[in-house]
Amino acid sequence: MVVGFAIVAAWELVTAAGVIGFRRPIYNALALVGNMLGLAVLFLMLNAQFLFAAQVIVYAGAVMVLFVFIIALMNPVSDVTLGPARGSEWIYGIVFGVIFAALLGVLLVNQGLTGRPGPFTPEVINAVGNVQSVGTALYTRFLFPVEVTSVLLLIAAVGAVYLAMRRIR
Amino acid sequence: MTTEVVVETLIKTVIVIFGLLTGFAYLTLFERKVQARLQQRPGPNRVGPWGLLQPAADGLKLFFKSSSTPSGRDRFLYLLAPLISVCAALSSFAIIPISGPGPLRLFGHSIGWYVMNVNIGVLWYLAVTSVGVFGIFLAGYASNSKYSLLGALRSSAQMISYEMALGLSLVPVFILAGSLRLVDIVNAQHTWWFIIPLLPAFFLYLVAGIAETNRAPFDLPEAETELVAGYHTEYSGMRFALFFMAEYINMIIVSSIATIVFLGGWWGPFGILPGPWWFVLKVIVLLYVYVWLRATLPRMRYDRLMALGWKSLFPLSLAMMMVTAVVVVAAEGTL
Repeated sequence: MVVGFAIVAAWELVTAAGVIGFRRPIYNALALVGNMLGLAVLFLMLNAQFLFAAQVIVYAGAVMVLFVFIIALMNPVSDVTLGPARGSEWIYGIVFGVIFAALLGVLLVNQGLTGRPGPFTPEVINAVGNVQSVGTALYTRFLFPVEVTSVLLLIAAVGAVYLAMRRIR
Repeated sequence: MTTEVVVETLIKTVIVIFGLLTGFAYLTLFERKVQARLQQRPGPNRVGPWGLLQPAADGLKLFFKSSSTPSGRDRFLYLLAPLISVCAALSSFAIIPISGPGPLRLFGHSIGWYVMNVNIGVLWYLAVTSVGVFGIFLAGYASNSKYSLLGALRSSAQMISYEMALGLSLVPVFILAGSLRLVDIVNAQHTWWFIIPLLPAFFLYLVAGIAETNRAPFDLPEAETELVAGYHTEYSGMRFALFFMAEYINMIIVSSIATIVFLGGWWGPFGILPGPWWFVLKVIVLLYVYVWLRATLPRMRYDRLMALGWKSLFPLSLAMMMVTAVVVVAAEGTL
């Protein structure tokens, strides 16, 4: 288990470096796909099979295919000038880097590396089934947030249709 | 995760891959033979008795053919694309149970006729196919050819659109069976196959499945009248064969899932024939429908294909899901 985690963690680091490291946008996007697939494998190793499937279907499948679509259609290679970072870019980079490191540090100090065990241990989940326990939690205890999120997504979809229609007219 | 589980899974994986590749080879012969008969021709009959060695001859030919490649290609992605397609197609068969736990015993327990029986079941298939889209899309992108790119765009748009209808048309089955595990779904159909209460969902699944595998009459991505051969225009030899393989294996998988969720999997009437034979028989019948449709129907226009997916199949499968949910809850008396 530890060996598996080490392999996947290394894969995550390499692909994350690839997301910002490659020179051609399509490779950046594909590195992000690889990163999301690795994250899905981590979910799988934590016994969260449903999250694995959702992660692959929604992020690696649907969202990233659209990213790759846009990159292939726009072909932004010619628009991007990649050189060493300039003055203002250094400042932004350092500010956000420090904020991110501080957040990670707070998490590490408060929770430790193993996290905090909740009520959903692998035994409890395997007794009812993974999909069943996620479904029950979503549609009973977290019903209100789920509905609010779905309305939010609906608004986004209606807005996208409106924008597309306006351009046709 | 003991060594026994790993060994058992590895053995099963090798068997499944071997079986799928043989199935692919003979599916091409099956398609050519059936189509020929439907058009009143004899079909391939020179290589071996009844043309039975034709797939081997085709394989040898493709293997020894020189692979020409476009000069402006993206070298890495051009090689990666067919591998993604084939790996996605092969690995989605892992969840399909050909029969329940059989009489064969190994490591002290009964061995099931499936590679894995996971809780997420069909979601595995949906996840793997959504990654498989990348194979087709990258093939079109990396070939540096307008036909390939157009074919790839069409194909990915079509697969993403129809995946919605495909997934939603299976939801009524999950509601009735109360599980996503394919073995549980088949066992729930011991008395009544789900095709009887869920006939509309079966047709929705069948149409969405044909579109998902890019087959006629929805084979717009490789419409030879306008796009030469679509996303695999610039592929030849063994690399072309890999795409060909992925498409046919996907046909086998869509038919297998239809057999399992709607046609009762390995259960057959009257107790004649053992389970696996029923499974194979039902899959062959569905594959015949695929070939029959290809020989019968003309290709659809692209905008109509998208309209059919989003304006008909998608709302219909949503409606089917809601009706099933209401009926099941009402029947349980909790409404």
